[in-house]
Amino acid sequence: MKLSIRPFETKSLPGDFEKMMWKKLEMAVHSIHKQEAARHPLEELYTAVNDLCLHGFTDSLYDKLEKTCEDHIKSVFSKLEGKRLSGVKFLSALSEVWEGTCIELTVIKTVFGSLDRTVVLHNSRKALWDMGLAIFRTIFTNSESTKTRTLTALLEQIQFERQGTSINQGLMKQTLSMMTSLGIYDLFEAPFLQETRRFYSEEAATQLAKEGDIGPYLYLIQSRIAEEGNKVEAYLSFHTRKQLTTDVLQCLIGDHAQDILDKGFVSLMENKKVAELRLLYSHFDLPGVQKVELLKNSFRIFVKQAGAKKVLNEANDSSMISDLLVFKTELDDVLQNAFSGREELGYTLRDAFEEFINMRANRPAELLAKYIDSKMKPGAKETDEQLEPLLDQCLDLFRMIAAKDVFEAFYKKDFAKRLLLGKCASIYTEKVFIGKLKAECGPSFTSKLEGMLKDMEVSREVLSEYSGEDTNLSVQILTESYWPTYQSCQVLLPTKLSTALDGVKTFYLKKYSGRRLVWQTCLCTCTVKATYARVKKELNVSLMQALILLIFNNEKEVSFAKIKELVGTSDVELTRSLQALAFSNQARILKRTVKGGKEIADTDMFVVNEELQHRHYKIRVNGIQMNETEDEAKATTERVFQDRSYSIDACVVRTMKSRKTMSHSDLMSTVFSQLQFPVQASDLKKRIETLLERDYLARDDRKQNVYHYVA
Amino acid sequence: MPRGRWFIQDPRSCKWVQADDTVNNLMESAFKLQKSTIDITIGINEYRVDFVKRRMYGSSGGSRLIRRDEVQASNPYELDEYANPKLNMKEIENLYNKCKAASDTEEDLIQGEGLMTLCSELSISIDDVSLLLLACRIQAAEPFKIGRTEMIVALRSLGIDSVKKLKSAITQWKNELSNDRSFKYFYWFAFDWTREENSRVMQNEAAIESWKTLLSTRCGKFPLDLWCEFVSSQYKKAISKDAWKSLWDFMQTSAPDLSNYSEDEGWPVLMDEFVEWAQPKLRS
Repeated sequence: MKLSIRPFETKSLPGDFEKMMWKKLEMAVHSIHKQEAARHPLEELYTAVNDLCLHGFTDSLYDKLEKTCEDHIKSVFSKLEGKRLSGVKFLSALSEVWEGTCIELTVIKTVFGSLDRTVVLHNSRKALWDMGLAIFRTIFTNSESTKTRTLTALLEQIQFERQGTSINQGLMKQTLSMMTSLGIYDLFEAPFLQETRRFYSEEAATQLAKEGDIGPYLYLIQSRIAEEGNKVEAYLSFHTRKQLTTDVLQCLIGDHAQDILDKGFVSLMENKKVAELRLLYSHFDLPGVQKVELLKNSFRIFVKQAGAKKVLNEANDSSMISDLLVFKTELDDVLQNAFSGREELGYTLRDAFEEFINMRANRPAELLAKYIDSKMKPGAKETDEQLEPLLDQCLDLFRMIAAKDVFEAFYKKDFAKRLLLGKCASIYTEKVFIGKLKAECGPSFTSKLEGMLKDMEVSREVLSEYSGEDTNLSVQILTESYWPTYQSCQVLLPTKLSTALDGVKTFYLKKYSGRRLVWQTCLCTCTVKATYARVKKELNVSLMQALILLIFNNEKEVSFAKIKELVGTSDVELTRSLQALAFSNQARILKRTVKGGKEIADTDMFVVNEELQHRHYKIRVNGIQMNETEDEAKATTERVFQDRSYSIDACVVRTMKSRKTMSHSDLMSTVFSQLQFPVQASDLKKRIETLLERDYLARDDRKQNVYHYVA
Repeated sequence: MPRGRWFIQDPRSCKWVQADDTVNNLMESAFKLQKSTIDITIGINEYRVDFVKRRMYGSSGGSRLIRRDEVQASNPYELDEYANPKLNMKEIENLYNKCKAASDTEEDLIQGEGLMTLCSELSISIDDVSLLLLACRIQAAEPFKIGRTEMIVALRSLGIDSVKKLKSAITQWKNELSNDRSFKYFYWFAFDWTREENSRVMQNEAAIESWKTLLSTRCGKFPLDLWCEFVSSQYKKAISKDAWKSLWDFMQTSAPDLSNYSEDEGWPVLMDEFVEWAQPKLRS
């Protein structure tokens, strides 16, 4: 048995197999290109392709197909150019061409499916789709006029849109996605960005050159940014977005940041346009811009200037503090709402505030003390709940004032007066405020104030045990060191009064032996009951004035000299008290018989003014002035300055004692940092010199600028 | 012999601690007198210091090492009171007595006429700086007065026991003045000698005179005339010791047109004001 295997019988193809197949296919392709139905059914065409591929005619088939497509697309393009369109029309024509090509290619792909598969796998040629695109691309890019016309048309459209006209966004999208698919999007992108930059720089320039507020410009920026965002959504490719945003921001904001600020920042702040400021801040804070530094600068300059105006205007003194409080609240408001409480801007605000408030060395401290004084007295219009946040704001101002010791001196004086004359609206509020001061500056700052408070309580306790005969007498016994020093004025007290006072004194000294008591007569007040012909009045006067009035119980007309003798005090004191009684505009209790000026001569005679008219039953005569005179204020300031030189000395000696040896510059800087008040370098140097002379310090023999501590 | 500084070693930490001034003086004086031991009291404790064994013995039995460092005093005019203890100062004493007799005062001082006598004995002119030099070497405590112990102890420590030696010493001292350091301390001493009695400051006019005498040859490019003019016409206050002393360093370190002056370097206020006044004049 012989088995033999015989090969297949090769069928030989008919000679013109390929030609025939190709003829069929060519006709089919042409009809596809003409967008007509093919003569032969698609299935037959497909099989034809398949056969050709199987029999190895792939390459030639591919080339022939490529050529056909190329010819077709070329003819289409020349037709397009021949039409001589431009602008939107051109774009829509181009779009049609593109769409047509795509559809045709799809059909071809379906028909020549197997070719696609075979070619790509085995011969590493482009897939049919890509081949088509490549043809299209080459033809498109090689035709200068098409390219230019496309670009011009696109940019023109965008320009229209920016100027406000609405355009066919769908068309734009189609064109641009065509370019993306073709991979020639860059051709469009670069000129587009350039155009964008040009457009927006121009716009920025024109807007800023306009007169008026910066507000509209800010809103414009916002709308533009939104617009461009829409563009990207609508038709631009998404990877243009980043560069586009950066460019727009740069042109509108970045390049002109300083101009924007220069133009409109001050007016925005002055008119408190919080919304616009918030917009401004958010624009400056965008990641593409980051110009908050400039904003900080302008902010600082504004605060400093506006504040300096308020502080340095001397005529404005009486309302300076309330103005500043309002100003600060406004600024805080702006900071929170417009600048979203950004830390750096907060610091800038504080620094600028400190700078201008210390421009006028001591006055703000004095005025602040007076302001708080007015709020703590009864007659202030705030309720307790309103008062506490107000005091917090005052404390904020206090923190920024450098001359804290001036504030302390004035506050202490006013506080003492309030306590002594019973003018505190609420002891609780006083205590709370002192507590806050203590937390701020340390216990040494407030020790005297607390001492004064405690003194009053202690005095009340001690004297509650005293059961004297005279219940109309109210006495306080206080520790001298805590209280400010007052002038002592001698008076001759009537016997009844002096016995009562002695009684208190003996009682006290029995309790606490070894203490010295001195009556401070100039701070005492008396209530004198006056019976006139038709009315009765109660007069609230100082002790000295009461004594003067009592004289008139016995005599009708008294001369100045006699009054002086009977009251037993000095000229100056007496004159002042008499002036309040006799020359006041509100209630003239005494009358001078002879007309004269403000001065009182020894021989002037005084009588009681019988025709006294006053609405109230209780009349208060301004004997002890609640508010300071100019001289008193000046005296206080003088004292503060003197105390300062002692503090400086003490600080220098203390520093040297701990460090033993220091160079001049080190010593200056250490002392500066330790002092609570502003001091000039030249003053400090002078104090060091005096200490050198008094042998507290010595210079080093060899090094001129080194000091040694001398034990 | 130069001065000595004594150090005591702390037994626990083995660190050398400088003895404080009183203890130092006691130990130094005993050492110079060539004693072998001395008992001293520090606080409530008593110690015996043995120079030969170089130890200090406490009452409770412990001992510590001691050492002596020789220190060159920065001030070349500082005296070592214990030097030359055995020198015979008879001649000097005679000189002193002669001058004292001439100064009509009950106190044991040479002053006034006595100074004139002293100068003629030593053949020096009273206007010369020589008298000032002599006073400086003696470290006279009060202006224009020389006391007995001052003079004798000082001259003894310098080894001068005759008038001849004193004369030659004076010429030698004059030559030494060309050395900047010696001159500086000499200049500083001049304040103490020419100030007023019982005063810590020197009067304006006297200061200007002294400056002209002492400094005119040594001021270099420093505008001394301008300085004197400023002090007499603008400053008008008495000159403190600090200002006087600082002038020397000021002269040495300033540029001729005062351009390198800095207010932060801690010069006395007098210099600040001078620079402010003089700079415009110097520039023109």
